[in-house]
Amino acid sequence: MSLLRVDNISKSFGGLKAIQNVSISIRPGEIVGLIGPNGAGKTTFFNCITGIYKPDAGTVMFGDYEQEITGLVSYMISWRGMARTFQNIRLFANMSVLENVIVGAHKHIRSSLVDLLFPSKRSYADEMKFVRRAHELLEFFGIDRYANDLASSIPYGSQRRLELARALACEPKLLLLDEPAAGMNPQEKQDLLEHISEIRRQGISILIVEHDMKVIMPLSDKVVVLDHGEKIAEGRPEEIQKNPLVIEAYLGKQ
Amino acid sequence: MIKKQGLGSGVQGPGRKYLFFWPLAFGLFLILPLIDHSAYHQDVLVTAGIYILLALGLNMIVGYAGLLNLGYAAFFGIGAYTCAGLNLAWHIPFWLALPVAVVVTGFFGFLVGLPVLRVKGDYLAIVTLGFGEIVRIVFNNLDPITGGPNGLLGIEHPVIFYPVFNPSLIWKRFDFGVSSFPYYYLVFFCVILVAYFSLRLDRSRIGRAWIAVREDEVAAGCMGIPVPQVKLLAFGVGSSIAGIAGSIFAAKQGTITPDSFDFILSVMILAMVVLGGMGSVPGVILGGLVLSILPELLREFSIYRMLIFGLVMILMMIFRPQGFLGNVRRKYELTTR
Repeated sequence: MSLLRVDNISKSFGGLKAIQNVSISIRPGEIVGLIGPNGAGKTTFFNCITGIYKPDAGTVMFGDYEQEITGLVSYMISWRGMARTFQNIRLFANMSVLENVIVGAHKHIRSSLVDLLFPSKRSYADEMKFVRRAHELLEFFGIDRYANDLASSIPYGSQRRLELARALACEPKLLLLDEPAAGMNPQEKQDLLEHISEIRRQGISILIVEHDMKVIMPLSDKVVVLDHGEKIAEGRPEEIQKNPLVIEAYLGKQ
Repeated sequence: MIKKQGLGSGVQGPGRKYLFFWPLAFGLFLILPLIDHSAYHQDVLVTAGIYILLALGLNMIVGYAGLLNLGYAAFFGIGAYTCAGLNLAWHIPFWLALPVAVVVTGFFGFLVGLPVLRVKGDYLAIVTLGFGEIVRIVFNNLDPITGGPNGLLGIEHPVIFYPVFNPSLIWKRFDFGVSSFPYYYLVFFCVILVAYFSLRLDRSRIGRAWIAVREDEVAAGCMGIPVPQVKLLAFGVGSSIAGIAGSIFAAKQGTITPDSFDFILSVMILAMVVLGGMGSVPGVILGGLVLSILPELLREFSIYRMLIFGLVMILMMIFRPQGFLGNVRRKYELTTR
């Protein structure tokens, strides 16, 4: 029984085969690391799962009943319980930090155009519930003091955390992190490790793309290695570190 | 490139300490026609009010949702022709024709939105520009319904009935007629209503979704915002506001012709939104007021009028590209913790 099961998906851009026949499965509560040299197709893989790209072939099954989500558009996939962050931060720059998080809760907030003309106690209470929830998430990541600043004005490391907070506001079952530690200093990376462990303790499964082995190795239950768009290895972190194919992909042949 | 400009000057921008200004402005405009009896001034202000309504509607599409629309005058026209047509064909009174016109205009906004979902940015501007021209040409050539270039004549003015006890209850009839005075209050009320609606939108789930789509469509989709629906809603709701403006325009003028809804008007409304500050409701109101009064003030310069007008706009965009009042994200006050 798996939360996410990807079977043999492929995606090409013109003549470039970005990913070929990649399969992966994630069980509930698991953290899976996805590694590979630059250009191995990790981000393309993410985009195929989250509906930004349509895979050319293969299937993606997701959720408690393993429903097929291949080729659905991104908001539908998000509604099924998948949230993600981006390698190059994609915040809503001209919104406040707090609003960024509240946007993540979009589908959970009930309010209609009628509520706008005739504000009711119920819609106000509903809205405030999510404002509070957003503050809690910001507090969890230690960036609540920026709540009313513009998202583009806060420090880089905090922007990365804000992306995480926003993704968590979607209340996902599976969280996809695309290089969450990129550009962070060692202390920030340490904090990130603790945050990710805490997120897992809340029962959320995580698929994480990362270059930094100090992040991947202690976190992951399983590591998948991509190279030139193909899966070359899969296994426990300590096995992967010794795998000759992986060493070759990263360092070249001896 | 219009999209990225005119936005954001901090969450609690400098506008906050001038908050007392708005009730003051409200009070002033509420009593203005009672003090200033000049028919010319009142007429200019009614026109300004109609422009402000249009600017507020376009602000939802361009300012909030970031969808560049160069054919907004078409929706103004659809609103005006719907209201006028209903009145002339079936003698439907203004007060019933107005909501119908709003719904019809919103529906057309929705229809234009459908093909437009596939195009973005500059291409979207061209598609909406094309739509605007098509609508004007249809008005010009669909003689049996729209009266062609002569337009529709003899539209009834709004009529209200009010009770008088003299000594028993009688309902007295009041015709809005041709004087600007009653229209002033009608427009004033509509502006307040639409401004209130816009402000509520700005910090509601729907408004946030529009702004998120404007800021980053891909990220918005991944955060569970149904991007196509949200864009269609922006087009529909934003356009329906033009239905209000169009109805009032038709009822006040008594006559409408296709050339009242040309491309220049679309550009003027867009200029009001950009000049005032995209996404900022007070800014857009100010922009609409300035751009409709300025040409009147410059009348004494006769032929140089539009030259000065253009120059003012150029200087404004160089020295204050975010508009009079850039969009300021307001702070969320937590009242019940």
